[in-house]
Amino acid sequence: MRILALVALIFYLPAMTLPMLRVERLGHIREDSLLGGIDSLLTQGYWLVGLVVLLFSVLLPPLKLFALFWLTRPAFLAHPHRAIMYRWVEHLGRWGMLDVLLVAILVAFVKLGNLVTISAGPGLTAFVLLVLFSLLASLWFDPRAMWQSPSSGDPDP
Amino acid sequence: MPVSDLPVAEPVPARTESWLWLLPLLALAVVFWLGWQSWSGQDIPISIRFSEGHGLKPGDTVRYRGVAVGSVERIRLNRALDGVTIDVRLQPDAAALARSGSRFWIVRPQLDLSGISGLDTLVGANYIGVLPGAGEQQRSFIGLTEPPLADLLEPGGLDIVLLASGKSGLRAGAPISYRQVLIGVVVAVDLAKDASAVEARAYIKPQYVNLMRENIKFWRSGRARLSAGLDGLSLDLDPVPSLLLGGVNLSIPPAPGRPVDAGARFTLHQKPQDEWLDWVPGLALDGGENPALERPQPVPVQLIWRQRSWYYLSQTAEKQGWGLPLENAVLAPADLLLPPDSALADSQSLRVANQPVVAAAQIVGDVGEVLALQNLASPLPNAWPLSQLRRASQAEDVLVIGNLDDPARFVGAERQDWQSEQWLLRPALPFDAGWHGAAVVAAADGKLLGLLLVDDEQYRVISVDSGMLSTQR
Repeated sequence: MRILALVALIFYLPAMTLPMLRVERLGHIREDSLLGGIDSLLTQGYWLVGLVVLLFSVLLPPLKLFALFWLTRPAFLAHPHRAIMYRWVEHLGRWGMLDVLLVAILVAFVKLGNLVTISAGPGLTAFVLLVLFSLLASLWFDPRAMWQSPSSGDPDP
Repeated sequence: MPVSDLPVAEPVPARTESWLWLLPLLALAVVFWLGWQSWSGQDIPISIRFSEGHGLKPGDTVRYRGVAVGSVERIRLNRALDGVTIDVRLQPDAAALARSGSRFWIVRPQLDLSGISGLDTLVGANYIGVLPGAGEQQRSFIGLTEPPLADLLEPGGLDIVLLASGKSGLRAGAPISYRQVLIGVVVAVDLAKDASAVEARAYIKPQYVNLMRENIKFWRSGRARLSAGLDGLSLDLDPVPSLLLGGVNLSIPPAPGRPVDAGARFTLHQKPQDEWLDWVPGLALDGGENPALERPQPVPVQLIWRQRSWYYLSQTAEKQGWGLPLENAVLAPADLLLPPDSALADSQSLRVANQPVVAAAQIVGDVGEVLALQNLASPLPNAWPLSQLRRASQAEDVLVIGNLDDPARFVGAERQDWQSEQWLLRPALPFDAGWHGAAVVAAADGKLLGLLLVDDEQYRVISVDSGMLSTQR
């Protein structure tokens, strides 16, 4: 189901750049996108946390989605290379933690609601859709489809 | 079971996915929608230069009409160290504030104008106040050092100049009040060009412009008067803002002069003379004296007769007042044209507009014998046309016009006891007997409503209309 991967990729860019949360506290309003949040983590000195989030929630997920998209495309790579790539996707894919980040955001949403006024921006919608479609894409990913030959549609021996 | 009976797998062609391609298109549409939503809801960044930051912090608000419309994002010092630049993000719905002509200032606790302002910033944070301009879109502004006087400076006001011998505490923002009503404000105080006096530029609010007459008196208020008498001590205080800021008061004489033009100069007295405090002018606040309307010009009417006083002695009696000149007649109170019954026969002599006239007047109107019409041989100049007569249908603001050297007196509708044929005026300032027969004109359209009769400290207006004049003639 590589179309699902494609859809997820479409949602990737707005999910990263559009403002995700709007926090209002004592009249101060702060609006941040995901990338902006990581930027503040880094500038405030939380190097480790910032880099971890950057790596596993920003860089890896699109790589995995690209892999899912291209692997199911017939005649993309020679079979041995496909096999290697598939193995990498299998290993790295589980480190892509979009869903974990979503849970973290929702926890913040619920818990902070008492202290501050918090409202969702368009980035959050895009992010939820990104998580949903990348989950569906990896759920419906059929590894056997990789080995289909472009001509016959039969699996290669 | 033979092999041939086994079910044979049929190859099924790969399911078509064509409808699935709608999904990415749908996703693109959603993304565009989200992006547009975010873009249209974007804050508007503007920057304001101030010479002084007054402790403003990032996160402080910009307020317009009492609600937050933006927030301070960043404050940076100018490179030349001559001020600070404040980066502000305005909410999208306040985009109309970011245009040239908009004025920004920092609201802080202050004693200014006619009072104490910015008290909310004593407890809360300072904030930026804004007054919208009307120009083009603009993103960078120069902030004001002082809050503008904008709540007073409306179009249509009058600028005047007050000359004082010394400044003695007078400062910009000092209130100008008339009967303790704030009617204007001192805008700037400085030495006159030749350093001979202190010049205060003042602004009078539009609705009070008509109070500014040539002969009004200004004096300094803001004093506490302590007087000791037999009945003990009495302390007389002006309102607090006047005490703190030094205000300006004014008095308008009973006979106000002509309205002044912008830039008129007045002397600012240090203290009022006692009589100024008792002055009560008859003046229309809203400029009810429309100068474009033509005014009737009453003519003096004088009746002299002899009457029996004691046995066979007789004495001369006299009555004078005003009459309304008509085409070839004069309309006046009956007692000005007809001698009383006690008069000796053929003893009367009548003068209209200082010309002797043979008295032969007839009573007109249906309210008793109060008005009379005297035909004249030679028509008077400035005859009042019959088309300019109107019957009042309710109490309305009127002007009373007598001697042309006196200004017309204004009597508001609220100072009248109205009845249809005749009604009473209760003016703040009494009319003396010299106003007998004066013309009463509607302030609104300049039509003549009736004549004023002064008797026994009562001021009666008798309706006059063209019908009653023409039938009698």
